Amino acid sequence: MLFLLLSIVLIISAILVISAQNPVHSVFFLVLVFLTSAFSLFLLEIEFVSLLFVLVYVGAIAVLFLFVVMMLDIKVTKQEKDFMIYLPMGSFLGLIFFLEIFLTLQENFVPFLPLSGRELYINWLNCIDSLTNIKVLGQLLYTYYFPFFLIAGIVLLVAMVGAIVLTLNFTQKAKHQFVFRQILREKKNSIYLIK
Amino acid sequence: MPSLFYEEYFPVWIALFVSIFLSIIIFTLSYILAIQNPDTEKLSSYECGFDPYEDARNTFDIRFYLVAILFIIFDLEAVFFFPWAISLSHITSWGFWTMIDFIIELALGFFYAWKIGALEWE
Amino acid sequence: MLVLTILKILSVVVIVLIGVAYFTLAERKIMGTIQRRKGPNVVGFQGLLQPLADGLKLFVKESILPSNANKTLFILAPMLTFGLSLIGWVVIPFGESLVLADINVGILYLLAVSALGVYGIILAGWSSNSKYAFLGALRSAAQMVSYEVSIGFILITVVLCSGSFNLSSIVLAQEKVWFCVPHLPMFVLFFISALAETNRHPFDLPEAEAELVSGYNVEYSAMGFALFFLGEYANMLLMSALTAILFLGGWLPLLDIFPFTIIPNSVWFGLKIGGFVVLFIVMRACLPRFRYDQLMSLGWKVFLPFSLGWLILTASVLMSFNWLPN
Repeated sequence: MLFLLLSIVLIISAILVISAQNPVHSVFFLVLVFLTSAFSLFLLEIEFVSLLFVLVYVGAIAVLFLFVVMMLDIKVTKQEKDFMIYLPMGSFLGLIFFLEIFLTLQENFVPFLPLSGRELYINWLNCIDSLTNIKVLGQLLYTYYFPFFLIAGIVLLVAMVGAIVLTLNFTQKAKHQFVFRQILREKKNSIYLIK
Repeated sequence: MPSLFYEEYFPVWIALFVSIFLSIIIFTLSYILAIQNPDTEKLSSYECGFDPYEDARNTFDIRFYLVAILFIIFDLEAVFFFPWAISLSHITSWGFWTMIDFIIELALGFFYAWKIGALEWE
Repeated sequence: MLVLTILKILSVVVIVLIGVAYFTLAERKIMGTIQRRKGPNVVGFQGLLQPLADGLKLFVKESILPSNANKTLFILAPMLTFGLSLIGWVVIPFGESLVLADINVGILYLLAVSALGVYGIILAGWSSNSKYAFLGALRSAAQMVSYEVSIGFILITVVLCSGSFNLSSIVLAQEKVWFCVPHLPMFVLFFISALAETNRHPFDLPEAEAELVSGYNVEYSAMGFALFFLGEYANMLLMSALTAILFLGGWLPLLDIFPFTIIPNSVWFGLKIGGFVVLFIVMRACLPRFRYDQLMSLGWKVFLPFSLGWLILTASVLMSFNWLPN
């Protein structure tokens, strides 16, 4: 019941993200989307991931979006024209995304908890509850799934380098203050005769 | 199904509602009880006595954006540390060296940022 | 159940708010003493009722909603700051099993709450539509974000040593030795990061009076300003409490022998918080303000590599001597 209500709020705010006139408002609706999805993860008893949603998506990614939107200094967007241009490509990407989701739903993500077969009569709930989900994640991510973890590290590295290359303006040069040079400055190496 | 999990988090949600309720109460009570006597000069934005002559929402330095993106990356790195820190005793030296490899990858990026001057503020 | 929980939460909230009130009084008194003044001494005995008088004054002032501000967000921002500063207290253990919500990811919860704290400031700066407020908010957001990284790494170091995210079990893990002994550099780093995270002197650039008047809250008056003020000071108290829990053994007495064990646990906790409060105030009175580039390079070039290196060192030592907690 609560889950259904949350999903409705989530979808409405997601629609408002793309339909809001002011880009800053749309970022705030995005924050609302993240918060409601964190809450629905909480209802599934995945406390760790739900807190990560708040920490990473709301606390970091949405802050970046806000910075960008504030920096671009857009007052109000006119979107009727843009909407039709982006519609085919956007719906295509969305379709691919949903296809991926449906494909991965078939896969079993937790190798130690098979859902079918002979284990059907074991009360797995006790086994799950003895470990918090953060511990389960820790014991699998760094051993069983370590290639994915290292690939994630490389993706982060590429993201960092890419962001720096794109944003850094190399031509800017300001005068710096070197404290040690100021302290080392003495009479005998700063006063000299010009012939 | 009221499980132990929800019981544990029950005070957190109540506290959330209490604090929202409290801040709304405080603000509205003050708004209602105090004498409101607005005029145009009072309501214009404060600029040390000058008339505000342009919109305050200006463009600003791109470095703030860079700080935000570096923060995302290091925040994610910290997030990857959390499950590792709690289960290090169970994942043996394999898990330990996996994490060291991960740190080296990010340290490369960090040194690049440092050398190229992305961390400099003039 | 519900009523009891609400009453418990309200009691914590009231205590926090009284703590904030007397934090401000202590600030004015101690700073007055350092500057050879008396500080407030008219209202009540030696000025003891001064914070209440200030609160009442702010309560009956006129709330100004600037004409070119975004009204909804303008009102929302102080409420958000105030509310967030209160809900962090739910997971703080005041004594043995004296905690409202004993959740097993307490540290992550606190980190998430403090990450949300940036929003109150950005909202205030943006919705005011004033130059000073906007600049103050930007500076503040960038600064808080920069120091949150090293705070995260320091928290992981502590978690590594205690083997739990639960704040009570972190305190119990320090029964033999407080973490400030083996992790002394991290203790100092954490306190300095807490100063930066709460926009406190000497890192108070967002509020630098000389250049930005008052930073992100210039346009606020009356209760809007008061809510920001309360929120900021409650955050400082929260950070002091967190430092005490992580590094000074929370409610544990100094030594587990006779004269120290007479004092109740929660009083020990209060004493530790009080010590940090005094440190916050003395820092404000003694230190000049940092320049913005110095602030940023301190955060990114000193704190981040150092805390990460210390984390790896701790992990390696624990790993190689087989000292890891289960």
